Amino acid sequence: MKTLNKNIRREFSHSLPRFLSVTALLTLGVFVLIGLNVTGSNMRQTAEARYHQENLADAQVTTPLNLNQGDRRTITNLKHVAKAEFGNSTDVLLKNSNHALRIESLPQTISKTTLVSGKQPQNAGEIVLNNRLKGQYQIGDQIHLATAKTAGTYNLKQKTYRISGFVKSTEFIKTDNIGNTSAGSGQLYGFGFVKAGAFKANTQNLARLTFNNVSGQAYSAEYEDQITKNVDALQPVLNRRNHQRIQALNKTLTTQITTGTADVQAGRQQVQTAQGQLDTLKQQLGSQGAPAQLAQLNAQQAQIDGQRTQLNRAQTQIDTAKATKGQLADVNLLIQSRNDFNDGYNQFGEDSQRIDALGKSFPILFFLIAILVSFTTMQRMVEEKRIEMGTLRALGYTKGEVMREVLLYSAGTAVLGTVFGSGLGLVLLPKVIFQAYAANFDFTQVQLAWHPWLIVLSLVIALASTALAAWLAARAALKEITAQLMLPKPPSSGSRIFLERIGFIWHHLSFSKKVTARNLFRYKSRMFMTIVGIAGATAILITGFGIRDSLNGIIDHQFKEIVHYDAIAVYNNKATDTQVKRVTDFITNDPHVKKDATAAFSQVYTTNGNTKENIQVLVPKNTATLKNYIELQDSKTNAKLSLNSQGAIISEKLAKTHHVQKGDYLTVHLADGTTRRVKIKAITKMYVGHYLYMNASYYQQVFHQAPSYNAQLITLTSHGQAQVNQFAADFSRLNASVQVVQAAESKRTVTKILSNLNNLVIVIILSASLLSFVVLYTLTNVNVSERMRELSTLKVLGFYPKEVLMYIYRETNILTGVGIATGLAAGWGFHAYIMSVLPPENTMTAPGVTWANLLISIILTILFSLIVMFMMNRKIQSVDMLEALKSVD
Amino acid sequence: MTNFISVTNMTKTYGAGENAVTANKDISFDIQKGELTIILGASGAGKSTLLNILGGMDQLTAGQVVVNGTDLGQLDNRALTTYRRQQIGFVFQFYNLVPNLTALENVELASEIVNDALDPQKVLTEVGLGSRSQNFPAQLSGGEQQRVAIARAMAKNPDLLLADEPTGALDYHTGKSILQLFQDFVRQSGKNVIIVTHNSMIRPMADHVIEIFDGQVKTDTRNDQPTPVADLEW
Ligand SMILES: Nc1ncnc2c1ncn2[C@@H]1O[C@H](COP(=O)(O)OP(=O)(O)O)[C@@H](O)[C@H]1O
Ligand SMILES: [Mg+2]
Repeated sequence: MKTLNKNIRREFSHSLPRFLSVTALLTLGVFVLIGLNVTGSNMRQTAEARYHQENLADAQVTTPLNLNQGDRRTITNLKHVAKAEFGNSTDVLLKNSNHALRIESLPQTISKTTLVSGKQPQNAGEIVLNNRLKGQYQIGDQIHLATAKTAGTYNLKQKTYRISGFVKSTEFIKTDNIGNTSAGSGQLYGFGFVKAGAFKANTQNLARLTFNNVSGQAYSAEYEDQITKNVDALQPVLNRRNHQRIQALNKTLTTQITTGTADVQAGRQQVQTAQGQLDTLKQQLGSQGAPAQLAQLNAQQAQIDGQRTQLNRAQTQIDTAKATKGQLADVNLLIQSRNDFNDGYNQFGEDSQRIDALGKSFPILFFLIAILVSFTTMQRMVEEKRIEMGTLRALGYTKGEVMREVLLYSAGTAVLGTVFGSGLGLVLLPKVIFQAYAANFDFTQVQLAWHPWLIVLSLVIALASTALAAWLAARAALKEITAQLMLPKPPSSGSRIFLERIGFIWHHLSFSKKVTARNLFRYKSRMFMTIVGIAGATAILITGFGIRDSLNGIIDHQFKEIVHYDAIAVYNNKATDTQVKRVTDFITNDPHVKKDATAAFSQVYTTNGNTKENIQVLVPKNTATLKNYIELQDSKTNAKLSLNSQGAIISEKLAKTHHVQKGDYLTVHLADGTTRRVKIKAITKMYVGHYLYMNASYYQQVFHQAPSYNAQLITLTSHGQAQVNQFAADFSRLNASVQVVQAAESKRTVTKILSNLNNLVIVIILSASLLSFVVLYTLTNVNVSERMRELSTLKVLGFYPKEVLMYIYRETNILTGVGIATGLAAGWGFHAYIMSVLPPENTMTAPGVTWANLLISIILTILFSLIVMFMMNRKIQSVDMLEALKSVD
Repeated sequence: MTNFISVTNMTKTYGAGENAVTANKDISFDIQKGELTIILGASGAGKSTLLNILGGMDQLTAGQVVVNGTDLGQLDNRALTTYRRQQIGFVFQFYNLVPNLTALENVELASEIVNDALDPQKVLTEVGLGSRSQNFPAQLSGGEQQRVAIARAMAKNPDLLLADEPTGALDYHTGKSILQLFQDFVRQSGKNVIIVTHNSMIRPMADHVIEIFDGQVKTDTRNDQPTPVADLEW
């Protein structure tokens, strides 16, 4: 037994390269399988811990009007609401800047903040800012705020606050693009919290809710489904309440307007009469009146003038009331789930699910190759050991004892591979991948976890591809009687290959080509493995590189071919005439605006599982000039499209996700959840964003009202980010401005995804490179080891080193070539698949793989095969030809 | 007549220090052109070592070996390969055919790499396998495989044909017919053949017998009237 163990130990060290290469293969397979499958889940776990700690709201209710007591009662009494906390939120500017800040009252129980440094505000004069602003401010600094609109309402009591500390909040987990705002450049620069008492009375406009019927982790189907159900059920309740309060308001406003108008009219009458009397008096008196009389008249005149000013002021109030009344239709009371009120929550979830999607595809390919190659390698090993096993059997060792060596060897690779792979996959990969996310989200470290089932699964697969392979081969071998086993396995009888039957070709082949051809087909399984291995690795390389190309391609296509505007400036066209005029004047006079076109802009949404997909609805006032801003072209034929009254033109991805075609109807929801059916007239090419384009008459048909022209499509003289931001900031100061929708927004979203995936892509490319290298090494190593005798014969015959190498490598090169070619095709398909799951829901996949990508992938694979060739050459040349030819085997 | 091969005080030592094994000690002998030489000795005597050095497959440690004007001690690895390629044919106890090539292709494997090769099919016919040229090694008997190996060595048209225990794995009759091939080759081509064997019964067939014992030359005898293989008995 001792000797047997010694023999086993020797086998391990004797064939160490093979042992290591199979271990490396399995390590890679397990690494990618575990790593890509745990990272998404670890990320969600990391987030959930913070959400739980801060008690992130399950839903929020928001409204453009302040909440009154009745509203609050309705919200508190909503079904399944465990707790409702009311608060204030307002967007302001940092004084003398375009930087927008969101200031909220500090939540006490729901969506609590996490203090990073300093103290929470102790009195109404203190504020805590978000942690990212730490660089700009210090505790104790004063911060000066200003209204977002030039003469807008200001909900806070003070304009200056003392910074008492810095906080984090899971309602703002993105580190840039914190959120959209109607203030400043359109993007929040930061956020802060003050005590509730720092807000003026009756300015609460926000309710944070927790539900008592939800369970499960954030992002789990269990949790998200229930929330969606709750929100869908509660919105109609809020709609009813909203209707009530609007009616009440409407009534109050109407009375105010009527009585006000009557009062003003009466007043004017009085003033006019008084003025008439005064004028008569003035005339009668002429210029010779006594000074006392004159002074009296002047005093009377001043009084009348004062009354006039008062009347004008009253008139303005009436006008504002009228405008307000006109806008009441737009007032809503919305309940939103985390995915909708918290952009960061949604994106973090989607990012983590993106990794899940990769985890479901890449590892399969990795592991498939690792399994195939390990399996063959192990079976070959057993075949090499036939004689030894036969000798041991003849000496009286049991089958089990004889098998022990190969089983220990193969199981050893499986266990080691699983240990290394799991270690790297559980710790290294999540950390490396998360590093990219840590830059864009407010989480510093990813929480690691054990995921024992994945480890067990990996071990089972690894054992199946090594120990099982070895056991099967050994069992088959040991079934033969021992005597036979001792003889060398009858030489695998050479056989004619198909090519030989085509005499025409065969006879024209040089001798070395014939040999190559025959050898290729002699080792069919290895031929197959090599092709699959190289093809797989090449395909992964192509896909890895392709992710970047395609995401960049999306942006390129979108802005070169389709979108030619820089921004949509949305304003309140129902504001008072003066305010509206200021907006139109501003756009006309801004020297940076190159051209603009009027349109009606609104948003609707469709549902896709638990997420709401926002759709921008655009109705151009002049359908003919639309093409200067957006080129509508058929998604299939590229034919130019124009709007008419027969239906809407919808963007390609929207049609795709809802499986609708030309002539079908698409159901969309308004903000309050009510639905409309839109007939699809055509489908337009669009890479990012969901859009509905229609003309005024079709809009009228769908929405039962004429479009409200509240937006200008803007093309600026230069399209740089700084200029678009400046335009947005200037525009946002106007009282009637609502929002600036930047076209580059979609560019940023896609770029962000790309940068978040960066580390992951690098890991995939490196792993694929290693895989390609190890596969080539393992298979060539088996090939060379098995054919040492043949190679030695060639040496004895006087083949030069290069000729000996080429004798084997002519085959390997052909297989590598075929592998690469197959890999190009496979990579094309695999890339297409990955790009169908990777981009966000509202983004098309940019077609194709670039030539540069194909070239790099090919060159890399060739480079690896060259490196392996050099390593193998050393092995081949250093073999002792006499030693190899001495023995029978 | 000048010596075709001349070995002078040749020593071959494997390894170094404590583990050093001297397989050939101070060996000297001459072989003339056109001889059939037999190197005879017990197992472990150092015959293969000697043959390998003559065949340019191993470097000697000391002394001088000149074959057909080439001083083997002066050659580097590459030059030794060229020497093997151009001048040597080698036959082993185990035939070392490439299993995936037909008999003819195995012969072509050798003829491909030299300039003045013989026609492979003709050589196969000469060794009596003309009709089996399309068979794979697995379809041939041991003796037939050895014939292919000999044909492969002969097809290179070498100046020197070396055979290390060529009949070791064969039965009596088959072995005899193989030896016949070597004798015929020497007589017909006038080239040299050296056969290594531990079987002293075949010594009468040779022109020259060198007996090795414990790495040294024990006897060096010439035989003016070699017996035809057909008349040998053992
Ligand atoms: N590569 C080698 N390394 C070490 N010792 C060797 C080597 N080859 C042969 N020997 C030793 O040299 C001696 C002669 O071997 P060899 O020439 O093969 O004998 P023979 O062919 O006469 O049986 C033996 O003792 C053998 O162990
Ligand atoms: Mg020997």
